[in-house]
Amino acid sequence: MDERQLAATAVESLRAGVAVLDRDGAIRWVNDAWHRAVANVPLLSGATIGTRLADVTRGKGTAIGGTIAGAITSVVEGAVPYFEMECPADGGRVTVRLSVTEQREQRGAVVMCAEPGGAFVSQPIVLHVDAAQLAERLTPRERDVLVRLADGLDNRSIAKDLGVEYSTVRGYVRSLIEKLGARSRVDVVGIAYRTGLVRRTEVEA
Amino acid sequence: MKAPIGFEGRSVQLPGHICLFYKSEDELRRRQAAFLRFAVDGKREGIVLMGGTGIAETLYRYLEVDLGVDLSTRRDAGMIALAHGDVDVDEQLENVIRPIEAMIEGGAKLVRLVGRVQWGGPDYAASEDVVWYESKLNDRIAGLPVVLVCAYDIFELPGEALILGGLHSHPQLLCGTFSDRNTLVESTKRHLQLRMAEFPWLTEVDSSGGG
Repeated sequence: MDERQLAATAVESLRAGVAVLDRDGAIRWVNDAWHRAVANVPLLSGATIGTRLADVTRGKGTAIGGTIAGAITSVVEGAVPYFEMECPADGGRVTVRLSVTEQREQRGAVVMCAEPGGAFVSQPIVLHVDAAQLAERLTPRERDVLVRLADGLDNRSIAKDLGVEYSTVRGYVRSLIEKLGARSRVDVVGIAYRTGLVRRTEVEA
Repeated sequence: MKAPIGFEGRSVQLPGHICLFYKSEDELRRRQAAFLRFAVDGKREGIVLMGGTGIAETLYRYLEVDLGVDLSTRRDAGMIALAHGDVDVDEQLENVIRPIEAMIEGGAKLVRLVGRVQWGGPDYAASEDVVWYESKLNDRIAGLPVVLVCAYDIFELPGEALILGGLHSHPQLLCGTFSDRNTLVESTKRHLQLRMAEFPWLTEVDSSGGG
């Protein structure tokens, strides 16, 4: 089951519009209910795959749109883990709840839009990624670097250890952060431990 | 070899990596001035001031005002350096180590550093990476004639920063009237394996929660 199916499963019972944002805040996946939400909530009109959601809401030129844009940016950038508010819908006759939650495994955010009274999650959704899939994404050299990251080495030491340039190691680390959807160097190690990419026994003296 | 730290006549064995828990801007300024006065008075000591955007510059201005000296000549001579944070924590680490090594190569017998720790914010490493950075500094300064003072604001920083970044990463502690060797310090490898990779925000959460 890929991450999109997992996300869909996680919110299947919520009947909420869901959009998954990447690390740039661009929408990369939506469920069917999202299209209904977008049609119903003026602030979200035009929020389709490929658009940056913060740009869409800010572009409405309203105070609430600016607030939502700021909140989305804050979550995507990791400044805050969660944001939730109510905003007008259906010509102002009802309000809907809008939730923006960080993706912990992959930098970005999950946005949910639910009608009043609908069930709502208040915890971050984790989009699980299979370890085998992760491993397939990495080159042998990246795995070499990953093991050394888990060992606590800095880039200079890794470069010396592998006999490559410092800048080359920096590139590998950035690639690992990108491929594992991590937010930081230590997050890479955390993901590696949790998914089994690196076993703790490998880094014990 | 030992170096005085400007506190109750105390000295630390080199290399020193001290966690300073401070309570106010005034205390930070006072501690910094007392610690760095030795470098300003001595001709063969270098100074590195480190922090996120604008922080090193602020520490530099504090130092000039608090000691009543113009430090521009020493700065131009490369014996005072301002180091900055970076979202890439390894770059942040190099930003600190590079000027230290340059000063030592340039003849400095001792380099003193004051760094103001941030937790989040732009142009600075992610929180968990800050802990790695603090821990890693112990490895990188091994054998070097340096004393690093990392300042932790106990009212501004969260508990994780004070415990993981401060207590578990620094061989020496300075807090109020307390100054001593820190028995809670751990190696980077152990720290990474047992603490950092299991930070609350890095561990999986139950995705089935509702309501």
